[in-house]
Amino acid sequence: MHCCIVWLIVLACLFPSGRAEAEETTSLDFIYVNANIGEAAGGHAALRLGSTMFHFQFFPEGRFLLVRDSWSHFHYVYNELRNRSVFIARLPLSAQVYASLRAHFTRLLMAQQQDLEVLDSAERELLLLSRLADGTGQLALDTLGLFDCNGTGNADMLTLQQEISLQLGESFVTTRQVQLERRLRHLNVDLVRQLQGTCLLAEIQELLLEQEFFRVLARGAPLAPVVVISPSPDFAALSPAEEQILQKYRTRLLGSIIRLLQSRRKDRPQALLLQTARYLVVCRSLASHTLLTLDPFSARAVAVQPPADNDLQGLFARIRRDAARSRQDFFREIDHPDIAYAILETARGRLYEIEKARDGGSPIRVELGILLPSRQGKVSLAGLSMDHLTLEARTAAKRVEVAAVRQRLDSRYEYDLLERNCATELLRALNSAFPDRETGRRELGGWLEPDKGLNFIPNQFYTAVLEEFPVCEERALPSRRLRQLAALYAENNVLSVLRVRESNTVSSTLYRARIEDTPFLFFTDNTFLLRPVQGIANFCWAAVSGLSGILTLPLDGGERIYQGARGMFYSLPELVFNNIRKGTYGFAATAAVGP
Amino acid sequence: MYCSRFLSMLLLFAATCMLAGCSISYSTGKSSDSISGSLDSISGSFNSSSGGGTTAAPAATAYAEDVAAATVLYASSPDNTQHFQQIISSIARSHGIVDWERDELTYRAMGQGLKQAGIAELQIAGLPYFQSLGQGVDFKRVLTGYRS
Repeated sequence: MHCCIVWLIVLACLFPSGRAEAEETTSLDFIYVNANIGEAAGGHAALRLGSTMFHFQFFPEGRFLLVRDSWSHFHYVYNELRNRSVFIARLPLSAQVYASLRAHFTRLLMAQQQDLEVLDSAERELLLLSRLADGTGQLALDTLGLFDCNGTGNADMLTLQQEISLQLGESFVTTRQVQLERRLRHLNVDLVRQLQGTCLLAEIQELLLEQEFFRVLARGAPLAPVVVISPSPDFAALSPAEEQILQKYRTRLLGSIIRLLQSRRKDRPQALLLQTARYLVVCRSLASHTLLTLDPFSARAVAVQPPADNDLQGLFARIRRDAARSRQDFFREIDHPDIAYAILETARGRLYEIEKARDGGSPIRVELGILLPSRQGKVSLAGLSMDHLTLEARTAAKRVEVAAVRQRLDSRYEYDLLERNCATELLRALNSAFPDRETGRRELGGWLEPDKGLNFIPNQFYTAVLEEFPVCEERALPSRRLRQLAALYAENNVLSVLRVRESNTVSSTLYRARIEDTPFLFFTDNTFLLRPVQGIANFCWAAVSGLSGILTLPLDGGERIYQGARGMFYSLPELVFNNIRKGTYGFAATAAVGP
Repeated sequence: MYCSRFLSMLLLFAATCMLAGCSISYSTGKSSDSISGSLDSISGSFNSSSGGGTTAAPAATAYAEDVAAATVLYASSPDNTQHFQQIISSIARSHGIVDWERDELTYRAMGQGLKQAGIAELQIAGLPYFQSLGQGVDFKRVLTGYRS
């Protein structure tokens, strides 16, 4: 299983692409990803069901959580960018067991999400209470920032007003506004009495937001200028056929707004504001014959500094391709236009971020998954008259509640090096799909206990899987560099020269040294007998590099010294015939080879 | 003498490092707080959290699976209808859906969830949320999903 290049070359020839793996099959695939430096030093374990990955990851807040990923993204990150070999053991399943396992893992994920939302909701309530207790505070509400609340007389908004009056009656908006005001006036009484079975604080937020929605509608407020984005001019122009589809989508959005106005969903104001903002941006697109969308990033987005020029270009190429594809998909989509539109918004938002970084070096906002525009806007709480003492008491109680919830979650989703890591939790999650050990053994053909032997070590876990389960097929996807090395050897005759050239980081044409990879001289992932000798050379190389960092200390703040020390550390396993460090890749050259 | 002692210490240290390192399994992508890790998460990952590709269909499939799973959880303690609606809203948002009440996929997936939960068909109308649907078209969609 360890990196023997001959074996990997054979496997690489047999299975040339990771993309072929993405087919939906009724099998449970155990995945082992070998090590690389940093947080990846121990290898990684995951399960694949169809083209969906389930695995556990450690998050910065300190929680260890189940994560769902697409195979294509998992493969891209681990195999391409992180340059780690991936090993796959395929266990055939009956369609029934396969479906039940998929449903089981999805349930685990949903239960986890609900747990985390309890904390999120409690924290939001605490924030609201604190603001209310301040007396003069303002509260930031999602989606309100999509509008210029001081603006008036937007023609498309006035058309929307008329449409609402036409479909729901002249007095609909006024009646609702009166009802909202009355409800908000009674809040103080309810705060003391606390409504049975309802979350009053969540209700306050929804009432405030709904009130703002009707204000925005009544004023004819336009979109806030900063929320409308239009990346690359060549991505903007609409063809007549596209305009027709967009017109239909505008009608769909109008229908959605009318329906939401009659909905009993508690969170309808947020949905109403978003659909209204989308309606306005689609109207503007049609009027200007250019495709405009809303800024999809929320307040949760993280701003990161752009990578080096080469990587930024590579990233730009990928994101641009994604944006072009999502545009095509939206204009072709029949069954799920709302999802396709959200994907389009997200893709264009990401492209816009990369373009800004490329043109002006501005930080890139990063947020995962399909995004929905939700820019926050502030609403004043001064109009809410509430008893100060009651608020303070409730705030104190809520603070205690939040701390308790956080503690409970920290304990439930705790990481432990030996007892709760990616291998043990994967096995626990898998085993919990069956009522007992015998049933599990019957359905899967084998059974592994997470706390038995060395199963907590990912590569030992994988070995145990091969021994215990009736695996029908085993595959290996060599790391990116090893794959390229194999291709290079296959194309050339003068192997000895190539081997020397590609054996080290100085003359290699397949790898460019990156500071985060730590300084090293020889690649040791495709050697075995020479590994200790190369390890000593790598150790010395890193030591010299670290020492030279004394000279660059004023310039790099000690980064070179730090990386030198890390390089020495990661050379140590090589002295005992083991390899962790493999080098990694940026986005520069991945545009053409990603999923 | 000193050289061999130093080498022994190195070997011991390396062995310890391997043992410890082997189970440090958290990876990059979403969990990483490094710059490249964060950027990893936006490249080719429109719905990586959905477990699907870059088109609407895989996201819709993942949405249906999530709604079914949430319905199974709801069926085990069906008292809080409002909470159930909030959960569905949250799931819908994560898959790019705003107006989930209009999407018939939602109701079919709920029906599948009820089937997975082992609820008898006649009991469905007795669960508070499904009771609120009356006998309308949405309830019929739930039954369609249940029977599929």
